[in-house]
Amino acid sequence: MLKYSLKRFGSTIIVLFGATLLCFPLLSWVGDPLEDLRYDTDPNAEFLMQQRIDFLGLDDPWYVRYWDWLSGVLGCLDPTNTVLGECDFGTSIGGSNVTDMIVNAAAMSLRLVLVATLISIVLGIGIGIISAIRQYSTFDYFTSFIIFLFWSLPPFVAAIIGKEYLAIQYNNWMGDPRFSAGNILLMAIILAIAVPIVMGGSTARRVITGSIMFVYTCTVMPLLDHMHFMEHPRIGPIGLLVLGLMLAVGLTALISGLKNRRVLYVALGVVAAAMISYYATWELLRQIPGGYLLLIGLFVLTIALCVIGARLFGGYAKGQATVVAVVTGVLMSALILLDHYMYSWPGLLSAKPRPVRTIGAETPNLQGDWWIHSLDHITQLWIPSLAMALMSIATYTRYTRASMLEVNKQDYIRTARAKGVEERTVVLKHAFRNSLIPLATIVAFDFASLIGGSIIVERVFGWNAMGQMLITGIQNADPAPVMAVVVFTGFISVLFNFFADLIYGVLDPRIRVS
Amino acid sequence: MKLRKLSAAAAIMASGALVLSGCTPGDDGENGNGDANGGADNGDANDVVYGEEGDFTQEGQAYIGGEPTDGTRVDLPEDFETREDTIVTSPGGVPFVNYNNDHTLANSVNNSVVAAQIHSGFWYYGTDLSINQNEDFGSFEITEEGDTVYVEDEDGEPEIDEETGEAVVDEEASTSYVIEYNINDEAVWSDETPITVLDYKLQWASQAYDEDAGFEPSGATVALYLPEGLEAEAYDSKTFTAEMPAFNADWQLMLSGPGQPAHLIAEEAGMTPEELNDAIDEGDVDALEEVAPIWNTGLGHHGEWDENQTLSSGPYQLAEWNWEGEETGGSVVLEPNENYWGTPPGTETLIFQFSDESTHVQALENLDYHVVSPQPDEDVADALRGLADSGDFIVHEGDTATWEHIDFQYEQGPFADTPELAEAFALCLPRQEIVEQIIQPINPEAEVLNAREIFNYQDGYDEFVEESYDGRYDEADIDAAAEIIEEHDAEGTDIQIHHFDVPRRSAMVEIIDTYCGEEGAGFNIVEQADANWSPGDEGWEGVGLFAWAGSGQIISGQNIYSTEGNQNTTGYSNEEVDRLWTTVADDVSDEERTEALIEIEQHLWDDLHGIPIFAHPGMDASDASIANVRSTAAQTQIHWNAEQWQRYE
Repeated sequence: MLKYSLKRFGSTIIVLFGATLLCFPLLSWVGDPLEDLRYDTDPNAEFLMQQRIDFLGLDDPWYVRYWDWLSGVLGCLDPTNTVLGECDFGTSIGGSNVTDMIVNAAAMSLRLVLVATLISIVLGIGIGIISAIRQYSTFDYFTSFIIFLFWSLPPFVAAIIGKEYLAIQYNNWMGDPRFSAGNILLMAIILAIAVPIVMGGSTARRVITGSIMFVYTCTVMPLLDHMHFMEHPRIGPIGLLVLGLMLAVGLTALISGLKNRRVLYVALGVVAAAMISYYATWELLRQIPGGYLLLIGLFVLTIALCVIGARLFGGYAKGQATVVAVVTGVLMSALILLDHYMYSWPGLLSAKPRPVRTIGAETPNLQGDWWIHSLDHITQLWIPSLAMALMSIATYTRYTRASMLEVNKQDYIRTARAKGVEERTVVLKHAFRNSLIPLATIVAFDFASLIGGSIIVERVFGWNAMGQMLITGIQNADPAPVMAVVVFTGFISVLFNFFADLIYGVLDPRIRVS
Repeated sequence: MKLRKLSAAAAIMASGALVLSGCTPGDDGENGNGDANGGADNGDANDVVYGEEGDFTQEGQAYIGGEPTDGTRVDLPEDFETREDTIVTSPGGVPFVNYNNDHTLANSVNNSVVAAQIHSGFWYYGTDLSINQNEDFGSFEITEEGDTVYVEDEDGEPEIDEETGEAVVDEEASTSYVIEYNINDEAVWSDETPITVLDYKLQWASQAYDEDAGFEPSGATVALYLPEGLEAEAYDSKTFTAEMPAFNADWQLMLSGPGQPAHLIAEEAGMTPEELNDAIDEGDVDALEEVAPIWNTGLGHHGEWDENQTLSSGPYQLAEWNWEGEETGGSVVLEPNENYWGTPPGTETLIFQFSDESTHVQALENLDYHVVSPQPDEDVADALRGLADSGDFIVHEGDTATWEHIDFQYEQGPFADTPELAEAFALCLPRQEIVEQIIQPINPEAEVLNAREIFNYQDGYDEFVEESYDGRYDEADIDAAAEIIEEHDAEGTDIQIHHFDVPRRSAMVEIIDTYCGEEGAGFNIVEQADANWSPGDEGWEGVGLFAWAGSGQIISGQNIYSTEGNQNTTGYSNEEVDRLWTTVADDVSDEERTEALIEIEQHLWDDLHGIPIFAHPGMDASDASIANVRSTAAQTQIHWNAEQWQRYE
């Protein structure tokens, strides 16, 4: 594995080198970096032109400039800054340090693209599987319709619609967030129709599910309204416990079946541990020394504890217990985190009465602690991410559905069914897992193309990430920022293809063996 | 049995939860971690008046301190105080890059917009391009009238320099003009050091010794027109004089703000203010070389700054600089300058956020921004008017100092071969139709512009036009044009129309084509849309369709219409016009200057240098609860009086 990784890393460097060698001369032949000055009526223009010629080394041939640039960038391979010199991506025409620019822009782009990818993986695969299982059902037709709508919706239109309804209208409503009787009734009717369609089953079962959903919505929404949930949301310990129990039971039922008590007890144990740590870490998380690093640390610790616990108490069902424990643990952590965010929500509302701005990645001059700033980032992030995710959701859904249907027709699935394996196991263990293999490739490709394609969404939301950097660089015929984007995007795409290869190994035992 | 065990386990956990629920962490019973209602409230609000539709007011806009009756700042009440509140505005996508607004890389409108809030100066542009002295800061006047004598040619007319296109001054016979500047005694930098002549001397030196010492200024006019520099009793005098060897009609524009704090730059360069003063007086380039890099970017640029160095001489100072790169994005947060001696600014926190104009309408609707200036087009105009209908927003409609026109190319092409064809083109040019179709959807009040040296929203426009233009091209006259074309046997002559490939201009060419093209007068109109085209390019033929951005200078037209002018790219030459420009630039009374300008315009109409079409419409919008927001024709944008903005509700 190590040898394989090193080999991949080596080839990455060569691929990137080739890409830069191709891009740099192309860039230096296209465009005129002095263009704006040529039409400048300022008597100083001559002088400025000479200044820029010296600065960009325009009198040198492209390979001399390329070497200057490359020797700076090669420094990035050397973290000690001694052998190869300092990491330096050069300077832009405007005199900015491109190393700082790319770090800044990459952080923003990654934030946007990572969240968009996560949203699209979860939604895309989820919807894809359900519509494959319920092929040619109402749900299948309905999602196909929606998916094709997403597909054909240009991102900037989606972005503008998102701004109108998810930001402006939402903020207007948040001024006095009340559910009217009409809202509640409408919501109840939508859910009463939608949930049975997703759940499936016989007509009688659908009617019952629908009625339950209707009554449930009509009770819960007025209750939330009464509690001022939209201004002061909390999950609280009871909510956490109830949701935890539902998770433990549900996941066990899904993955191993409720008959497997070992797994169920492990899952319940995880929920109990989560409840304890909810109280134990409350103060620590409020202070949150280290910010995101602490969260990541705690998260890793949670997974480790879940794995250890499941191994110790899982007994004969160790494998399934580990999966259930880890998934329960992760989701419980997410719920606890959500509760913390909810606790800070009123704080955000007082610092920022209209909680979703349509501009920028963060709110300037926002007063508040780490949680409020983090919430601000989330409120600013989610609409652009969603706008970017729409097209990926569509792609992933269609691929998952097709791939799932394909796998379902395979002989080994028929054999499994013939042997009397439960439908749950057939779908989750045999069909789903194998259908993910082609998807891993697509996600890896998609990630890199999302970075490059984010320019429109960036502009509509006033973000200043890599797309912006690329376009301005090309317009100004300014090599340093463009090359920085090329190197970074290239690196990310190679990296994600590498991840995809690793995931193949996990998904497909045949690859591991060879 | 097993099932019972399971429910027992669940029951134990559930009962545990009941015990726990009494103590939800962080639940202090009164939701004490924030006031969800938000918003700041600040005592008594000022009285406001609401504007009617007018030259200097906008219908529905509130004004604190009375409705404005001219282009100057609003007269604020004596007890005007800063209100604890936040106003966010965006001048567009280009960020604030340098504290030193005079640096060559800071030469953008947006940099000036922010810099205008952290610096004040001797004068400012009013909304009608008027030049107004800022009495808070100081005063200036010509104290000694000089006499500019020009070298005369054989005919007794002033001789014109063939390179510059300006009249040659007889330096021996001329005497200098002296301008005296007085800085308000209370005027101090935000570190309480007085603003003195030294600050201005440094500004002068940055231009006078730019290449020698390594200064990188964006202009050179101060050193050009005041070659002798500034005179004062001491380096820290509040009063100083400047000698102007030849009269410059735009003398008022030469010096405004103090630019950079010279005492701080001296300190950074390791010298005392006296030493800096001596270095400037003696032209000590070696010493100034130390100073130049600090002047260029040393006090704060590209988001690297120190609050002890970015000193303010204006109502606001820098509080936060969120740098996101030089292309776009980021924001600047301003807070009141506690040591500002004039009227305090209206709002505690003023935020300039830099985002593309296309984001502005929705951002205003969401109140992310309270004052916006989007690029006006029909869709934006409709959207903003839709918002204004609710009464929560105000649309500020007006004109800008940018004016659209066509120029005839006389150096080559059809108008060089047959200059009479220009007359035909002028006759068939549907100016009224263009304004109705292209501009009135944005600004219903828009009308055809009939002058080059004065705008239709400025005082005296009607009288000016009455004398300079007889209305001969008011109506498109296809028949008359066709007659001229026939007379010269020029049916089907290719007339290229060059422009920078802007959709609006393509639409204009289409309208021109229906009147002047084959269906109309009989030319063959060829559209040449090229984003890289420049009127300064060699060899283009036909007609150029573009806009000049007016700067409020009196003599900027000299560059365009005089024979040797830098911006004269169409081969236009009229000796009489050259001579008249010399009069305009000279020290003459306003009446005489206007007379000369009218005569110039008459010649430009007769010779058909080009034809003005319209002044570009401006469109800004603001949150109706903010008082004193006023659009302006000057390049200072709607933010020109941002320090007077205040929420009144």
